[in-house]
Amino acid sequence: MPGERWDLGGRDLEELLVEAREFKGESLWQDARRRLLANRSALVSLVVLGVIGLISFGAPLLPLPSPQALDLQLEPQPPRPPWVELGRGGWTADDYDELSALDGLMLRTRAYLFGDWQTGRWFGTDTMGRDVLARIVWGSRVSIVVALVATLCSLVIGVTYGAAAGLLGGRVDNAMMRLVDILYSIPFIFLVIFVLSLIMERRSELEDMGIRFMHVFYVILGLIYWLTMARVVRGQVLSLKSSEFIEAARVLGASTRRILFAHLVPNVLSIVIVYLTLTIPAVMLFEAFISFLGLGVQPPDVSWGLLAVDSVEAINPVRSYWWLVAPISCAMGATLLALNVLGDGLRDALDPKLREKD
Amino acid sequence: MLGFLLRRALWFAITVWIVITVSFFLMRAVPGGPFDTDRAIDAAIEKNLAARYHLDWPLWKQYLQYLGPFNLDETHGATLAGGDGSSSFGGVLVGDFGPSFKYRDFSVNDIIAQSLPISIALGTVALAWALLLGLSAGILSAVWRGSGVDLGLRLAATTGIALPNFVVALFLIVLFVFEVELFPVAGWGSLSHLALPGLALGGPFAAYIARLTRTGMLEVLSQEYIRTAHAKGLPPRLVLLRHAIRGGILPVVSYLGPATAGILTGSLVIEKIFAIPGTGTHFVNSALNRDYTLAMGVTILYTVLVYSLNTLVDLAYTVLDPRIELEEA
Repeated sequence: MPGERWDLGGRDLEELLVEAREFKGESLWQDARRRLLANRSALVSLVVLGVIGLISFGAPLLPLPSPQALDLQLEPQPPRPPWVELGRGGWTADDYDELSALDGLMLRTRAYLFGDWQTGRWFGTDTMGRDVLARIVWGSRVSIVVALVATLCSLVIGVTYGAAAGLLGGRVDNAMMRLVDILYSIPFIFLVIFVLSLIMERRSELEDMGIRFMHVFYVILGLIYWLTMARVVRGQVLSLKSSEFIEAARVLGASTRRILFAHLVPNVLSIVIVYLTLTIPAVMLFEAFISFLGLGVQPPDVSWGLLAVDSVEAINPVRSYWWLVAPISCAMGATLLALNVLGDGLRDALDPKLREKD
Repeated sequence: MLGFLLRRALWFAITVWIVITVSFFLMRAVPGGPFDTDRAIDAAIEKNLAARYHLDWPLWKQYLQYLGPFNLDETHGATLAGGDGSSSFGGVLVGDFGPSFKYRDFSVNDIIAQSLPISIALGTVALAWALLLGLSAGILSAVWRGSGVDLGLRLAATTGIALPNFVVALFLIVLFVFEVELFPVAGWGSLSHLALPGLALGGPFAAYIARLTRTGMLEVLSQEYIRTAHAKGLPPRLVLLRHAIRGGILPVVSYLGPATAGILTGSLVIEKIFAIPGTGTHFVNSALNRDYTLAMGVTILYTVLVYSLNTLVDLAYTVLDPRIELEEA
């Protein structure tokens, strides 16, 4: 009996075990969740992002005018708020082109729910008579997809590369990281713009081969954001590799696979998640930047970057159409702000060591 | 120090060579060329154009010619109709980027020589704004930590980091050009043309610098030598100015490298919005116009600029903080 060997303070072992069961050890994730939930601004950001994501995904379900339906009137129309004009009728499925199967289904559901009713010009119309609100909502889809795909690319490349360098160590690690250093000192935006302009030239040929320009665009953005990820992952792997708890696991006879998946991966994961949330806003900004220069998303597709271009063109000394500027700026600002705040919050929650001294 | 510089120079050479080679072969890998238009060109003209830009040479010879520093064109272009020997060029390694494909009468060097001073002026103004606003905001919010001022400044900084610079630019234009009519809307010529684009360009970096300064200052202010300075009766202002700031702004110095690179990049958009004829505008136009030599020239030039600036920043860092040693190149 173990109770004979240890001094239990005169208590029964069973009793102690019951008591001990009540104290749950806190895992990294529970700890992180608790800290994130305590961070009010991060929570608000999470909710805001959730709402934006839902609206963006369910755009075809909403009774908005088509973002492509042209109405070549003379002037952009100023906003008519809902209490002035709630809605009007008259949209058809022909206003939308090239919808995926899921979007088509959602559009039919919308037709079933709302009939031919659509919202009025709550946010006004642009120079081609298109509804600003609808364009912002539909534009968010492209911007979000770009951000997610590019971030995913950077995730796959960066984590693989960084983990490989960290695990292999030694001379291989040195060489791999030297390459990252070299790539770091190249002003990538110039190279990307250069490459995009070359690809743009061959757009039609690419499309004959079944490659859409947009997809190439996503991947190219992903290709430039993996460097930081690789560095961070490699650093984490290196420090974990020599840490005591890994040593302990090895002494206890854990297999390499178990050490890798039970100990290394969860610990690297936290830092990866943090950098993902910080990469997404950077990519969104970059998409806007490239589309702004006319090398990214091409009309009739719409993205927030393209809307920003419209807003720049809408400003002139004679008459500035403020409703082309304010809504898109607010939408973009709010999303990016929320992503940044959430990223900071996650970093504080998941990695207290990285925390800024506040 | 010397070893550090030599190692840096070696990696610099490798980096630039990679950029040159990759962009050269990318450019040539794409079939067709800058002279393809919808209109059919006469075969003789096409041949002449190809000869003018050496597009009729084998690829390796074109590459060597582009790289320099030797001239493979013995005729110096003089055999071509209208050629006066000026079409030959020395190659990138001696700083000659060759003729522009689109602006037929200009070499890439001419265009850069015209536009780079403008971009540098804009970048300097932007960096000055970023440092001025960022440092003062950071120091203020560290000194009045936890106050309303601190909270407001931090909120502004977070917003500043999140907003794209063209959105900032739009707000500035609406505010200071149309509403208050303080600055001219766009264009180039006087100092007042620079203030607004500089602010828009420097804004996001000011926000980041403010955050760095605040963190750095808070750390320094809790150090013992600061307490000693207070204890020996120095006026708080002197403690701040003479002792705290020096250590507190160190993180900012190491951020100056990335910030400068970011400002150079950001100027692509800002120059476009404010119609400033800088290198950024030319670069974007060259990318859209298929002016490959110009695009490559600017890419290479900016690689060199960013790399040199980063090295300078690293050197400055060791001067400011003797604890740091230059080990890794």
